Amino acid sequence: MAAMAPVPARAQDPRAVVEVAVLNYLLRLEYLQQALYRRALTRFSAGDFTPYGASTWGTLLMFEEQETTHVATLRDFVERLGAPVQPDCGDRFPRFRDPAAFLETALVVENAVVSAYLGVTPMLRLPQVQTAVTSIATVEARHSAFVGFLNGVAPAPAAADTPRARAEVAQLLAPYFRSCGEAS
Amino acid sequence: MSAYGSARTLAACVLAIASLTPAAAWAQLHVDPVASWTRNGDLGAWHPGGGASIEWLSDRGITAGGDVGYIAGFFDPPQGALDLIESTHVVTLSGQVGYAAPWRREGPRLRPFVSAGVGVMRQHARDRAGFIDVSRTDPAWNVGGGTRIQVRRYFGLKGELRYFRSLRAPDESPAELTAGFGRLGFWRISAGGTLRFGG
Repeated sequence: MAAMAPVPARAQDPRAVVEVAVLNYLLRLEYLQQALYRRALTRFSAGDFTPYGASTWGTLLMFEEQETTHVATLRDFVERLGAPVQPDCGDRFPRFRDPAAFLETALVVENAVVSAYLGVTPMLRLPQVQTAVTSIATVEARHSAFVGFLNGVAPAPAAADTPRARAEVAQLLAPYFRSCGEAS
Repeated sequence: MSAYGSARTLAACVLAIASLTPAAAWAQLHVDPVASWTRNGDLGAWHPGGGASIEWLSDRGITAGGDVGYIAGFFDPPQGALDLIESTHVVTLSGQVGYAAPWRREGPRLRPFVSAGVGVMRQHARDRAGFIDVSRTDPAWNVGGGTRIQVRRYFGLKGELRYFRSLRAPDESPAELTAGFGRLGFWRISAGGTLRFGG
């Protein structure tokens, strides 16, 4: 994840630094998921997903809308904390050759995002932010379960998910992140 | 009260005490380098630090001095491995007046003391992605006490427990989400040496 020049924040309470850092970090992941579903919905049609079930296309449309809502929610919290918002720097997803290729990538991304949310939730101290982040995390887990099921993987393959640090998540998703300032 | 106002008030108190006390009564000067452990109650964590103080002690037990302290990682989350925070710290700079039990040439070589003061509390936090880099300086008060133990004529040990609290009202925060934080306050335990001059 690219470092940017520090911007003096309007929020003058240093105790908010963890919340701002976590929210901007999650925002980066949400931008990535939003781009993933948008690319798939642009690239494919409802008919391409018929083999996966009649309701799959509609579900993916709903997922894309939910990722957009997540982006808006996280941006709103960062702004309310008076801090600079992480910009959307784009993505490096390939042109998916078929729905299976998209679903394979989606499983990697969704699983990484679930573990990222799990990793940061204990760091949050503001109740409103805790509630918002946790409620998004549970939806991400549902996305992961559904996409896993479409990939032929058990929806809940383990009794407990694994929390991951920022560096681990960045490594898992490195092929898909575009740095801010990097040519698209 | 501004930080400068607090510093002026402290200086006035020190001068007032000095003017009321005969010069000959200023018997001792102590210089105390210490290590400290500070409790961040919000995070339920202790943070290491260090500092030093300088204090004049009169024969009548009146004390006046100053204290500087540094607390590393004060706002770091306990889950330090989740590397989102670049650096955080708090620096305290304050002046104190108080009372110390007189030295006794016979008996226990303990000299308990209590003191209170005002000063500033500088807080800093920066995230690793470079989106937030906050420094804030609040006027603050503190109160505490401890004891010095004379080991040699000019050297001893010092232990202290002190509470610091910001004087800046929480509703000065521009973000409604953080308004519930309240004024920053924390306990500091420190231990170290004390070098005695004079007396």
